[in-house]
Amino acid sequence: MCSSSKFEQPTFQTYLGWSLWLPWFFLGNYFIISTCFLTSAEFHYKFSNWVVSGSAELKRADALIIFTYKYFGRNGILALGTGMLLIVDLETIGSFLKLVRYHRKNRLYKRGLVTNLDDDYEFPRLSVLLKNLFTKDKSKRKRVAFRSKKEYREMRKRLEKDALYKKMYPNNRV
Amino acid sequence: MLKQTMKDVSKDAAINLAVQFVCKLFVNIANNDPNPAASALLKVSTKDALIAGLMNNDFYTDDKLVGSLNCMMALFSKAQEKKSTLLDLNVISDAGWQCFISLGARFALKNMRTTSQYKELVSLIQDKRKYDLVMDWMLKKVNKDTYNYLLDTFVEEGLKGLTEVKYVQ
Repeated sequence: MCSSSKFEQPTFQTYLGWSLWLPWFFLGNYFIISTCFLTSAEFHYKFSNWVVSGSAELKRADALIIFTYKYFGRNGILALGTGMLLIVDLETIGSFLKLVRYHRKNRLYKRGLVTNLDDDYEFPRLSVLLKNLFTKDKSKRKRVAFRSKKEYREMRKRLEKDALYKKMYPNNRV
Repeated sequence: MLKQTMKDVSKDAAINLAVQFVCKLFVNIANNDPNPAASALLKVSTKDALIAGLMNNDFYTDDKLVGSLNCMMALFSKAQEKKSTLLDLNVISDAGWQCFISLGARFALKNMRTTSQYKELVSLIQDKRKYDLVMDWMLKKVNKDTYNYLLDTFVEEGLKGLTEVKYVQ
């Protein structure tokens, strides 16, 4: 099982970040995937006339695109886009699952069913995921455990029957 | 506190300006620009550097918030550079590409920072006394032939660059 770490409590910025990020997430995915279907003339027109703009981070991205197209051509650009898409999507999905896990555990914590707010089922890092993909020995893979709704229901039923729990938390509805 | 924040922002903006210049310089050299440094200097944007300096402030703790603000900036700067509207699909597409590449690089670096190899390399580079250690580290990671080949290539390319500079002068 993965090592547990403490949850960072989501703030106003987290939700603002999600609401601003989601449109960009879908737009970025759509435009990068749609680039694969461009004809070679369109592709050449798009990437040979690439304009460098923005702050240092954005200019660095532009430079990366220009150099990749210059030295590796269409395949290089598609590989770069796919790689970055994979990284950004995994990061987004990972942090979304973390938010969901936080809310689930917080609900249990408020009801007194758990004593801490540790992240028990941490989403593995990208390097670990890639390592898992290429590891032949499956016994060495880190498991991404997940509690289903059924498991929660069973836990609730068990606690309803538990006499000690009823004695300790008489006012708690499970 | 405001003074300290402004100090940090201006420091970040100065670094940002320098990196902007270097990026544009490399692009100009690759595009065979006759005067790469001058045109790179003209393209450096102080406004973008200041906004980026404000965004890198410790106040913003969420990666996605900074990322989406960066994407907004990409959209505005692309529209300005292409002299087009914000709703132009080409501009949105270019901004989406730029945004995903910069964010992907940011996330990849963030993931790499936790690996032992990266920590080892950074600690070696920060040790100013022993630059040779980096070479030793490289020697441990690759075999001797590859190491010699890499060194030869570096020397060869360096000499080629020097002769080209002499030829231009």
